[in-house]
Amino acid sequence: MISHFSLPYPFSDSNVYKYSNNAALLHTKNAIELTDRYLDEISLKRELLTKHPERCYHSSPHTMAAQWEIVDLIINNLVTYYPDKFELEKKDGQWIFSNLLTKETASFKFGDRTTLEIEPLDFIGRHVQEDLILMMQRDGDLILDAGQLCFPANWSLYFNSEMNFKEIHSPIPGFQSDFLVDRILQFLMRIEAGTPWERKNWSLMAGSRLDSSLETFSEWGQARKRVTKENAGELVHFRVEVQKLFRLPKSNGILFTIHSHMLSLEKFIQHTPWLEQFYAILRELPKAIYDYKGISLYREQVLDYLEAELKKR
Amino acid sequence: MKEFLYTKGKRKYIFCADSKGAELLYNFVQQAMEDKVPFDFMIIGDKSDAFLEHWYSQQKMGTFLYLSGQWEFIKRLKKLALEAGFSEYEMQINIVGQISKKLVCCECYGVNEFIDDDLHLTCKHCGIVLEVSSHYSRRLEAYLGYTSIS
Repeated sequence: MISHFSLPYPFSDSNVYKYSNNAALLHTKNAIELTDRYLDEISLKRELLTKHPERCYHSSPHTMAAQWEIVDLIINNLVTYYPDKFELEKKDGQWIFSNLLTKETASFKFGDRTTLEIEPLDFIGRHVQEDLILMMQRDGDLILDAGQLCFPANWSLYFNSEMNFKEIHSPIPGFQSDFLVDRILQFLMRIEAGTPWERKNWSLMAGSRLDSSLETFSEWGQARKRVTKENAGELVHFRVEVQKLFRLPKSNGILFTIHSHMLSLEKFIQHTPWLEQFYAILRELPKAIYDYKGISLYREQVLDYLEAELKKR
Repeated sequence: MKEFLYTKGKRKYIFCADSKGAELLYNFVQQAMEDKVPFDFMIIGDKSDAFLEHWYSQQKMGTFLYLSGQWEFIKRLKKLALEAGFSEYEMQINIVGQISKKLVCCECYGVNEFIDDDLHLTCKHCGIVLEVSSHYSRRLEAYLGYTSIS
């Protein structure tokens, strides 16, 4: 049973939403979180990676050292925070990693690519619900040099691979003009090892597909046209990405983990303060932002639904 | 792109144009004649790739190449010149008319050509309608074509 409190809530006290660098220090320092959807999402991820490797995985050849750092960070994270679910045994440079949930054991020599069937990032990504993005830092910029991405919010890893930070974000309205992109880039490049950060991003989704890739938009995007005031509670989902940022000390790369959570609007609004605040935010949301978030086609219907629900309280 | 200008002091000049691009080179030819520098001036009609390859490969170090014409012509001659050993620094290019650019289909990753005025096109690989965007990938040397649900 999913309670509404299982959804990470993305809004602060303000009822007006705007783009900002809303990153906060991540005190628990855990890159990975497991939810009760773990096994379903892991198997969906693996299915997507098998069927659509070009869409879901990309890496530049020079990322191998950073990929191993990610394996180290994530496995340590898993055995530290979930010791009853994951185990690691180290013997003479040999690592034996056990996932007790999937009942799998992997044995490999740390740092030796030939001892894994797939690349290190691809390997460890198949054990976590998060999408994993590696940004390498060079020439005063961050470059998307590797990633395993199965649950994107309407963007393409294939297309964005090897882009710098500004190129990746150029489709976001207003992002270029107000220097926000520069400030966020400068902030990211100053992230230090051992001091991870976290931010949350939100959107609405007509339907409940986690794999809302740009490549399949013509399939899942159709649901936007079916939203009515009557079905919005069931059909429309509130989507939150918990994004965490870790400096990799040896390669100086940045690991960016994205955990996508979803909850139907009817469950989301069971908590009245959330209903009230989200209604206020959606009503005041600037057009450029709701266009970019892909809400334009059904924003009115959702507002009507939320308003009707508010009257019932 | 750099301004299309006559650069003095080269050992030899080669001026290549198609019928649309020739006029722009007349001043350069005149300048080369005044400077008493060797030059070739050729309006490339139906010259074969083999002819051009041979001609380019006969040129000596220090030869400077000017190409003036429509985009398809420029692409073909530039490619041949690079293959024959000319570098980007040993040539100048003037494009007459529209430049065709590449658009990647967001569904099948197929590459399509488009010109600046195009807002939409049909992917020649999978048949879906694509909206031309300004989102550009240097890795793919192409713009992103979005699908629509309408």
